[in-house]
This record gives sequence, structure tokens and C-alpha cells, in this order.
Amino acid sequence: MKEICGLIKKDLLNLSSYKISLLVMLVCVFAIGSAGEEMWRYIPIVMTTMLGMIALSTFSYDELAKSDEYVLSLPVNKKEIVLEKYILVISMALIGGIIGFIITPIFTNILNNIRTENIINIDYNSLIFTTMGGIFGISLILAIQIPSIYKWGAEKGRIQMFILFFIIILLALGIAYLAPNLGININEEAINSFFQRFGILIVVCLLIIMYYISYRISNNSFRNKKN
Amino acid sequence: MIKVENLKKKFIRYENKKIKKEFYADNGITFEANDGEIIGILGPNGAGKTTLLRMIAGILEPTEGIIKFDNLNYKNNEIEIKQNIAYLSGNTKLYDTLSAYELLKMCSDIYGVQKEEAEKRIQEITKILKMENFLYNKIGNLSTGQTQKVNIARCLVHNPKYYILDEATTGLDIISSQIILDFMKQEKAKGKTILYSTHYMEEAENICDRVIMINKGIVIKQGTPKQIKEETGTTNLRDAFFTMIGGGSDEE
Repeated sequence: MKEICGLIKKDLLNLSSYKISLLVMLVCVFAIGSAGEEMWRYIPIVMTTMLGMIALSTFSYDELAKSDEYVLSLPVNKKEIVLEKYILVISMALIGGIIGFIITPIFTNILNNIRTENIINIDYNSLIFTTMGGIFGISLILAIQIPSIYKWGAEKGRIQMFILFFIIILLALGIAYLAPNLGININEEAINSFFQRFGILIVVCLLIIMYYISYRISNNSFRNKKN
Repeated sequence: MIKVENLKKKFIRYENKKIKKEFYADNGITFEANDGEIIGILGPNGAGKTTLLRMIAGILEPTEGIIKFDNLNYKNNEIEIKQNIAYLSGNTKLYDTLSAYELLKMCSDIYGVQKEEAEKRIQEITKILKMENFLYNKIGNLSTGQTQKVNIARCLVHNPKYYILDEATTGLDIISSQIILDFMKQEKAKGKTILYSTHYMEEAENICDRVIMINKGIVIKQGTPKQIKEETGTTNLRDAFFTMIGGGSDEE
């Protein structure tokens, strides 16, 4: 485990160069949050996405430093090298969600004190729901993204990411457009109540299954690539 | 002691999109390296030196054969072996965004060196390699020679028993190469085992106790530089090599 901690430390040290970019992004997040009454919902989603994506950039740092050869000579086995990346990426996405969840009420409170005419009221159930949705969404993307980086490298993997975003948006729009035309009645209230009741359980189970499959694929790709 | 027995590595090469061909980068390499010895692995580009050293360093898995470090093998003792290895290649780059100190701290963490011990070692290494002036500078801002010193420092931080150096002086200027050669001599004096691959025959002749000449994945000769020169009736290892392969270079 100490070896994995060492590798995580290495990645965090590399990511420390993002300090200023993070601050700039945080300002952007606040700008988005203050743009409208309901825009606060996006803060946890943006925070989760941001930190998850930043964690992915450690693959590019490794590629630039051609560190595979060096890392493989360290007293860690190949499975641990892959596992470390998953631990880092998942932790960062989770931390992003938690930070988003904490700063949203703080931020809206500050905004309400400055801008007294447009009071923002946070629905905490909705905030939990949005945060979980954000974590789940970005986790889904990361779970697909990591194996593709192991298979094709960080650069090609980035192209895959854009394609993936495009497909997800198309799917969502497709469902929203097709459902009423096909006579399917999407009962938002029923969906919300279902997710509020079983949301955490479903999300946790799905994440475990997704990451298990993703980790297995990454492991195979990494093992085959290095042999 | 490092013991390598009948080591083979098979790769697949694509002739075109449909036709693939299997070939052996190393085909039955056998040798031993004793404690306190510098063993030179010599051969032209494509001879199989890098593949051989990568297998010995545990980076690549051999297709066939045995690698033993004091009777420990990778199958049962991978972590234990790697704790005692330092691998340095000419291709290894370092993280530009980190300072030399941060990199050395990171390496100590990965090797599980205790915090105080790590700090002590980093200070010692900094003195030995004269790195005081740039220890806290970002690696991306260092000169080639300074970067190479950091690379060596990273190898020393966990006090390994075995050094595997793959073309570590290739492309370096005379001063930077000398840093590595001096470092090898110092470590040899401490009883460390060093495997050193190069295609600079003169360099190997000066520094290696024994050399293993390989060509097309096969050992064509091994022994002390003196023995090889005597047996081939030549005055230097370069001529000895050409005598053995029949006069021409045939790189793959």
C-alpha cells in the first residue's frame, strides 16, 4: 500500500501545477452559479467534472515523462499501477462532488447577502440529488475513459472523450425528443421519487459494477501493452 | 549475484496489415554477474540489449528462461527483487514540473524509505553528486548534465544492490557521460553489481570487468575485455566484435 501511496503522491505533485487554473475555474463556477436562480445546481456537477478531468491529466504527465519504463521497475506490480490511477481518479471526482456540495450553500448565502433582490433558495434534497448525479455522470465517463487511455494513450483517449460526450448528449436529446413522439410519458415526478428513494443504492451498485469491469479491461490492456 | 539462464523474448512484428511474423529479440541468453562486478552488455542497435535489460529489471516478462537475484525469482519475489534494483535508461525522462527534491522524496516514498532516513540520504546524495545549487529547481529548467545527475540520484535514493543501466550515456556530452561512469566505479567499489549496456565499445573496454557481446539476440562472446581481445587476435573490442560477426554490420 505504501507504494501506491507513493504513486498517488507523485500524481498529486504533478497536479499541483494546476493550482492557478483551479482558482480560475472556481471563479468561473461561481460566475455560472450566480447567472440565474437555478444555476446553483451546476456547481457540484462542474466541480466533480473539473476534478475528475484534472485527475485524468496525470496520464498525460506520465506519457510526457515516458515514465512507464521507470514505474514498471519500481517495487509495485502492474495491477497496483493501474489500481493507483483508479483510486486517484475516483477520489478526485468524489472530492469534487463533496466540495461542490459544501460550497454551494456557502456561495448562495454570500450571493443572497450581496444581491438581496434575487434570493436563491436551495432545496437540499435536490442538492444531494444533483451532487450524486454529477458524481455518477463523471464516474461513468471516467470508467469508459481510463481503459481507452490504457489502450490508445492519453492523446487518442482525449478524442474518445469528446466522442463519448457527444454520444451521451445525443442519447439524452434523442430520448427527450423521441419519448413524447412515441407516446411514452416520462413522469418526472415518479422518476425523481424513485431516485430519491433508491438513488444512493442504485448509484453505488452501478458504480461498483462499472469500475470493476473498467479496471479489468485497463489491467488487461496495460499487461498486454507492456509485453 | 544475478543469474540469467536461457532467456528468450518473442515479439510479433507486422510485415503489413495482414501478415505478422514472430521473432526472438533475445534467443537463449545465459550469463552470471557477481557482486562487485560491472558487466558490459555490448552489441549494435537492435541486438537485443534493451529487451534483455528490461527483462532483468522486471519491466518485460520473458517468453522463456530464468532470472535469479541471489536465488530470488520474479515469480515469487517480484517486490523484494525490485526493492534492490535501480533501472536507468537513456530514454528515461523525469517529471518536468517537479523539483529535483520533490522527485527524490517521491522515489523514497515509493521505495518505503523512512522519512528521516530519506531526508538524510537525499542530503548525502546531493553532496556526493554536487546538486546543492539546483536541488529545489524544477527539472524542466535543468541542463542535460544536471538532469542526468537527478536521474542518478533517483537510482541511489533507496540504496539498491543492483544497477541496470541501459545505454545511460547515449547522447550525452563528455562531462555528463563521465558523471555516470564515475558513479559506476564508486558503486562497484561498494560491492554493487552493475549491468551496463552500450554500443560504445571503447567505453565498455575501460570500465567493465567482463563483457557479453550479443548480436541478433544471441551471445556471440563473453569474457574479460583482455580475454576477448586475445581470443580474437585484435587490439580493441570494436575490432573483436567485427571479427566475430564476420566483418559487416547487419542491424535489424
